[in-house]
Amino acid sequence: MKIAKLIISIIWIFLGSILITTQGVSAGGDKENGKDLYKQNCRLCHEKDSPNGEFTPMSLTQDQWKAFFKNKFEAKHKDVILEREKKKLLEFLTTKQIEIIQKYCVDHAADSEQPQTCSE
Amino acid sequence: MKNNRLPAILLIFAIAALFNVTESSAQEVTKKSHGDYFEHYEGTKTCLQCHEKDAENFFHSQHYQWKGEAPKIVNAGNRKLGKLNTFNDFCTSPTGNWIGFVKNSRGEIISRGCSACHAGNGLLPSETMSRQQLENIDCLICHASGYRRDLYQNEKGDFEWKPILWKNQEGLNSVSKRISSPTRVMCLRCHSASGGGANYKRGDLEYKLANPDRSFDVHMASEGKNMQCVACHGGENHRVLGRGTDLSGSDTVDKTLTCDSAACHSSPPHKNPVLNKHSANINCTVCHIPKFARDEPTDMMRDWSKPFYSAEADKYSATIALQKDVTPVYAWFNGLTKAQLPGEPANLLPDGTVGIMIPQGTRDDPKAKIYAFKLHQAKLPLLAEKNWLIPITVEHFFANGQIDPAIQSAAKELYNLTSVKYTWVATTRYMGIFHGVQPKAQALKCMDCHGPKGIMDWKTLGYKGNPMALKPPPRKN
Repeated sequence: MKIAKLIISIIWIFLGSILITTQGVSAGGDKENGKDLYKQNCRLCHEKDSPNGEFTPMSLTQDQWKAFFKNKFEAKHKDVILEREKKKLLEFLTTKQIEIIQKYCVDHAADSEQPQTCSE
Repeated sequence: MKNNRLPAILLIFAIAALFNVTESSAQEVTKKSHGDYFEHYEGTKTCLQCHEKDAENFFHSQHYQWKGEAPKIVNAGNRKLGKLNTFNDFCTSPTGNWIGFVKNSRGEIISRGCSACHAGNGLLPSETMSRQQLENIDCLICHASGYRRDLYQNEKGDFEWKPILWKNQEGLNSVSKRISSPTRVMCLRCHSASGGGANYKRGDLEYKLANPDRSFDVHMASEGKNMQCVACHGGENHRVLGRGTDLSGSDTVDKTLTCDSAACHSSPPHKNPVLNKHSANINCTVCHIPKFARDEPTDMMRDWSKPFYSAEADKYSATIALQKDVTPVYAWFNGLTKAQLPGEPANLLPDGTVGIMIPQGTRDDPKAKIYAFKLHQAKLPLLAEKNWLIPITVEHFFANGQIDPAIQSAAKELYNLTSVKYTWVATTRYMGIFHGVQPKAQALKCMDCHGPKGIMDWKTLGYKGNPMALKPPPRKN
């Protein structure tokens, strides 16, 4: 009986640790992804002296980024082709990925506590 | 009977609520949207349209001049002193380190100069007020939440601090209208970051104070009193109250900031007469700040004779010893300080080190109390024969790690001397600990000082031993 309880306890601890680890990776992954997704999909067309305009997260304020993603992002990018993937940007990026990019921009906007260019 | 008491009870609650509201309001940041006053922010001249007099006051303040009257420095001799014309044992001196990009071998910017924390747009402050100097004041760095700036080089090659939103007029207009009295976050950006890293310099000014809980600081706790820095330090006409123990210049020479000076705490402060007997001779901070650097470690020793290379940052620094949860050292302090000033022979202490900032006062001095200090040690170059301390042009050193050219450059800049010979000397600086006041349950207890393993160095303080064990005659005052 004691051995059975011990085995059940070990299984619970094992499952618990998997859950904690998975959540950690997921949270950390989102954080990393924001920067990576921006670098992979946005910076290509918005580097310094780009004809499309230079943009980094700290180019706009938090309110400006929110308004941009709400009102302009899709319209401005509807014809953009991601050469690497040979696909339209809006067909390649998932809604979740766009949300992650938006969060990264807002979190590191010009008036945030940690303004960033995405090269840092 | 119960019904008769009810109005009285309600009245008491109403009065208590009123006091609570009044107190909360007093701690709130004074915010004033400037949307009605201007449309486009065009630099400091936009502020000057209404705040010319404020700018003139600020021009003369410590925060702009980085020097001022120094009546608390016993060897000042009526000179105006401050960060700009003295030196310290951290990054040593703004001389030669004021502004500019320092890049590492990877081409990354590793320093932008001391002016990063000056409330100006890049010009060195002059003693004479001018339109150019007034427009050099960066009002937003202390007054606009969300305002961030960076260093830019113009076509002439001059450096200038500008809003990072300078290409985004709409965003800049928005940020520049979010005006308030300075918040803790605004103050901490410079006062916590100084010295090369978070909390490196002061030890008791941690970023955690931006949003602390009550166990970390009873005054600034976000869910408690939520006091802003200016609640204690806000003076009049942009003059800040309080100089701690080791600042050269004073912004308010005729006022002293103490726990009871703003009518916050009574004097004597305790109900217990034994505690009040202590508070007559001991500053509040001694018992109520038993440790500092509780969240982030602080720089306790900086050895410039031993360059250290960080491969991660690709940057050189002095060898720095960091320490967390530090117990202060204790010394008598009567409000006056002896400073080691440039061009003066080294002030040697009994332990053989050079005293950079030494609190004055002894047990027999009726104006002195025991205070809590961070004891910062360093190794600095000492000019042969003259025995003058030499600062270091650290901006050169950060990139190439060559200490001798950095010392020669500073000797030339400060003393107009070339090819100087020097030795390395150990230095000592006492820095008052005043922030991070803990709840009274965490304050020092009798035996923390008077027990067999007590934290007080009684002999250094002028006692023959633990006074509780020896029962000495009462102090004359």
